[in-house]
Amino acid sequence: MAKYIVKRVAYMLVTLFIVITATFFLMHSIPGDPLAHMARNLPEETRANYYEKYGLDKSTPEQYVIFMKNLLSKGEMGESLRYPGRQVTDTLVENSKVSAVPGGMALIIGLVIGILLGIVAALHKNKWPDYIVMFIAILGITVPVFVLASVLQYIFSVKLMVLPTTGWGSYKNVILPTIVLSFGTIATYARYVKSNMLDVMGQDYILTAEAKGVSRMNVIKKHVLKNAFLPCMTLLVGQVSGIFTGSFVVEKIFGIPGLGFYYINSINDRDYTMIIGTTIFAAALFVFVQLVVDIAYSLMDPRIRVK
Amino acid sequence: MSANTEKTKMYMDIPDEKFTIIGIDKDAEAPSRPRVGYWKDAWRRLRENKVAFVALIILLILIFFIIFGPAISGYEFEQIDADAINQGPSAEHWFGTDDLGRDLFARVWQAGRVSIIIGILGAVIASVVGSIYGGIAAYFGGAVDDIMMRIVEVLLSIPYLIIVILISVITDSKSLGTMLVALTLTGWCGIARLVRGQMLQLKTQEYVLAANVLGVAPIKIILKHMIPNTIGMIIVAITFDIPGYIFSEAFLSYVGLGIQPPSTSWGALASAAQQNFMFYPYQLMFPALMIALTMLSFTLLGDGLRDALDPKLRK
Amino acid sequence: MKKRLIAAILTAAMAVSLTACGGGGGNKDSSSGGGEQYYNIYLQTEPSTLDSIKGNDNYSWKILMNTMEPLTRLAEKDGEQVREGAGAETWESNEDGTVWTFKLRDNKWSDGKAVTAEDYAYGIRQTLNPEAGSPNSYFTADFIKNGKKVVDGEASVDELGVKAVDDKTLEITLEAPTPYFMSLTDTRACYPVRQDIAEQHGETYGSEADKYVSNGPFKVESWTHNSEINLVKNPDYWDAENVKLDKVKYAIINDETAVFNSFDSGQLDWCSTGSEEWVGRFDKKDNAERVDTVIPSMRFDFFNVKDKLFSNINIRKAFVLAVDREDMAKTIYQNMHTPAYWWVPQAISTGELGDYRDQVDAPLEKMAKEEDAKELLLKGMEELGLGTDPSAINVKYSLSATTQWARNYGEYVQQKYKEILGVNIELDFNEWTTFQQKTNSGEYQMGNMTWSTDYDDPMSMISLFTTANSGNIPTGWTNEKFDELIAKAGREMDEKTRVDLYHQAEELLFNEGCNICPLVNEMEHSFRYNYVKNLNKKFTSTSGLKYVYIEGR
Repeated sequence: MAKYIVKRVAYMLVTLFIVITATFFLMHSIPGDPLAHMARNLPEETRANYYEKYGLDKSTPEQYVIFMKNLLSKGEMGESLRYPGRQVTDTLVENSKVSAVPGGMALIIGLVIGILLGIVAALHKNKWPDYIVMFIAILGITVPVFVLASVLQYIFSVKLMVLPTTGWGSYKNVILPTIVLSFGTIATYARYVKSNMLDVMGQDYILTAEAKGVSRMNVIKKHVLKNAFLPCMTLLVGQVSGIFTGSFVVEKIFGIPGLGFYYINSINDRDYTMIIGTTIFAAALFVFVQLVVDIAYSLMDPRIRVK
Repeated sequence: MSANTEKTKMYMDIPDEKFTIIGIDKDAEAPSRPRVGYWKDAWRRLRENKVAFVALIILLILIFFIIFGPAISGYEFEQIDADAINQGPSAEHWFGTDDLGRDLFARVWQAGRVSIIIGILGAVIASVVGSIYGGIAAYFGGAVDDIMMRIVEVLLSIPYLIIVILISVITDSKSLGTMLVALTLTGWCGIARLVRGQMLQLKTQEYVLAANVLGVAPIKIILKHMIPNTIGMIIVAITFDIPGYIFSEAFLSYVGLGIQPPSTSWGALASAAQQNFMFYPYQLMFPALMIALTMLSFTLLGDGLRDALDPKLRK
Repeated sequence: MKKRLIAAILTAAMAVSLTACGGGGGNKDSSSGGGEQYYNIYLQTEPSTLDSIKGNDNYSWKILMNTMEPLTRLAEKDGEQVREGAGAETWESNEDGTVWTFKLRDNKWSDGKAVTAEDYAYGIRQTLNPEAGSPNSYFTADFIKNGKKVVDGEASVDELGVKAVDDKTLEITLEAPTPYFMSLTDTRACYPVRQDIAEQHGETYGSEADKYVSNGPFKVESWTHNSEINLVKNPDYWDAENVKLDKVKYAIINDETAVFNSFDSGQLDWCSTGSEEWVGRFDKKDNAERVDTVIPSMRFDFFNVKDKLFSNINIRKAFVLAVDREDMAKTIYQNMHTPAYWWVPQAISTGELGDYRDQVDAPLEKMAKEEDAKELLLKGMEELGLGTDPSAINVKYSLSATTQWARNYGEYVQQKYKEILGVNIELDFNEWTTFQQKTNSGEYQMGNMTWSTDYDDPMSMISLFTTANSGNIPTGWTNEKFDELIAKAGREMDEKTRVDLYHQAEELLFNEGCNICPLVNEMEHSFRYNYVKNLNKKFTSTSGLKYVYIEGR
């Protein structure tokens, strides 16, 4: 096991390295002036000074080498080009903490409700509880998030006036974003759990267990649930890392100072240091959660053995 | 030696008249029921599933309108009319008009073309590529699996918008084709991971082991045994992905990277109507309704297909 | 509809179950406490920095205006704009108007230190110092002595015509008499900066609430990036007794609908909207007042005269005259902006004489009477040897946004040019960063942009097309006669003659250049709840929230 983990961590680093390298060169190859937010006619001398300061006067490979050196030796990702004086690392920590609040809550709520709905639907396949559950599950994702978010905002903040429209700091600010974000999760898990459970329930070992006279409740508890949840773990990877990187649409509409909003804007602003910083953060989180899930997977499923 | 002779002798003792020739029973090898192929059987089971069948019909109706709707409306979808701005549904404009006075009935169906094509093609491409990729990774395991999954991780970690921007810069367009390439370029990764996860389980199943021992080619094992057994999951993934792609395109429209005007999509119509939805709810309702109907139909159809295609549920 | 209803009921149920544990609702922010003297407003985007040297965006400008004390302010007294002393108590110039002396008041920084003339001098110097990297140097570079040289790195900052004579006296020397110099004294380029604080924080100066000092009516209490900025009254401010508000909260809200919803539900006390529907909705509020203001800001197209097609002036004129501005204002802008037949926008004044536009006629109105767009097009095509078929002409039209609005706008333009001139328009949507790069490097045919004035004088708009400034709107058009007219106007102390020179320049710009195609003159439609008193109504006023108070909230 230890050997496996060491190997995986090594892989992780290689993956990260490739992601950083690829993103670095890709972002420098898309057109756009990172100093565009300044005056249109920035004096030559001033512009030159900026380019020198941010190292933009050098070729992309040179910039890459410098960036990697700073990252590896000092763990520094530099200063935002768009917001003078702000360290990328500070921004990442601040914003991801914010994103994680509605994101995490939505994931937990979505998981619990989604799995419950999925189980109910599977146990009552093709009967009315199944139809109702699936209808509810699908309903939440039939409209695009930006539509759902603005409709909810209108109902609760303008019509009913029970919740603030935008802002951050109070628990009231978290409610609507959490609801909006959890719809997708509910639908996803309800459907996958149902589908997986039906799969598992058709397996021979379930038949055997039932033939042996194990009660239905016990069969489900002991065999079905565990095996049905395993494939969901793969899904979880993206979502767990996603809660820290946030959702652009929800954060924009509800005015949440999270990472999702920042990320998209940094791409639009060609804020190079910020783009690469967020990418590193998201990728590292992603591969790390992936590793954890893989280990958990192999511990829970005896059929998959770690080699 | 002597014992054998004894035995032969014993047979010889039975007189020939005890035997009669009954001829060949031609039906002995025939199945007792007519032979039903896998796909034929699936189709039969799908038809029996009423919900799925209704969904299929709704989809066909949608597709009919998407093809003929713009012509039925009697308006050009891009025709601006300053005197008919933001009109509600009426006899003249069945779905009303938008903020430039364009007929929404024509626009909604025109947009449907883009959305449905992106949805179906995107999901199919992604699922096929993803399943094969995931299947190969899972089947071979070891170093192959490791490398292939690392590639997926890399692709999933590179900012998606950068890729979209890059592709639209390289191709110098934001056409349907560009959107499809941009959306599927990393879109298949999710399915690849899902299929791989499922296949890792299947791999250890006895029948796969048996096929292996018998020397069946790997690709054949993947195609004949492993994919059919993951088809349920893949179908669910496809039906989830079709609306998923429609939504992704909607998101791109929302951030301004969606399909280029005058082309439009349901996502673009919905995001255009979002700002003023409390004043002109119908502008948001029609595209949103189409998205919802499409989503609902594909999901229900997908559930039906899942049951129909699952080899374990064959009777 | 039914589905959405069910969705609403479901979400309502969820929300109730969620709120149940946290106590009742209510949307009034009670944290403000201490009476009603608080004011809630918004910014659409996060300010880049509060460093007046480095920031150039409108959002940081709003915070700066309220937390810093410029030399003077343009305040509103009985509906009229009055330039009043702020950081400076009095000012005077020498006889030929080249040396200006400002006597400063006794004022304190929010950390208790006295405000000195050196603080102002440092701010002015740093803005022009290329090392400091200020995007605001264009404000003062052409006027303050040696400004241009300093910006170009040809002279050291010490040679700049700015001097702190003593702690309370600031002396600014100009290159030449500049009639409108006073209107520059409340721009960011003349804001004070505390050298010790700026140097102590270095790069991070102005990036956080605690890395910044104020000497204005308010100080920054907290700044949650991308979320909100809270200002509180500055007790050390020299005129603190006339500042009524205790707290000002700037919420940072990017989504327009969210802004309108927030105002609608009373979470914001003021909001501005360009949407006819929202104007209609807010008009129905009995407790809110609508204020329509003309903004000295233009929306316009511009042509790349280095492009083969647009190198021909008749083609350019044809494109300019083909626009039906009335129809555009109605269809696209829902009559929220005014059709513009000029380059220097309304609401720009010329000293004592008042609004410039009221004194001169609109150049495009005249041109439209004399010439016909289609004829001009055919004439131009003939001159270029392009045949007689307009439908063979394809023009790439670059927009600087990718929003839904931009798409609609683009489609409108596409249709109209097709209808009127018969030419094909290919739309090219860009993010701002890309648009900027494309137009600056001349990789465009026709672009669309908005330009707002930097200071209250026609010079601010008209001088954008001199050879020296041609990088601002990179059309590539230059004209010596035009340069001369502008130079002359810049030195002309007689208001009447100056207006005449501006007028000649504007006429010339359209007759010989026609490198720009004005579309609409912007207007702002804002709403304020009736309990907000004394809030400025003019866009160019710079007294900020200093005199605002709340009554009967």
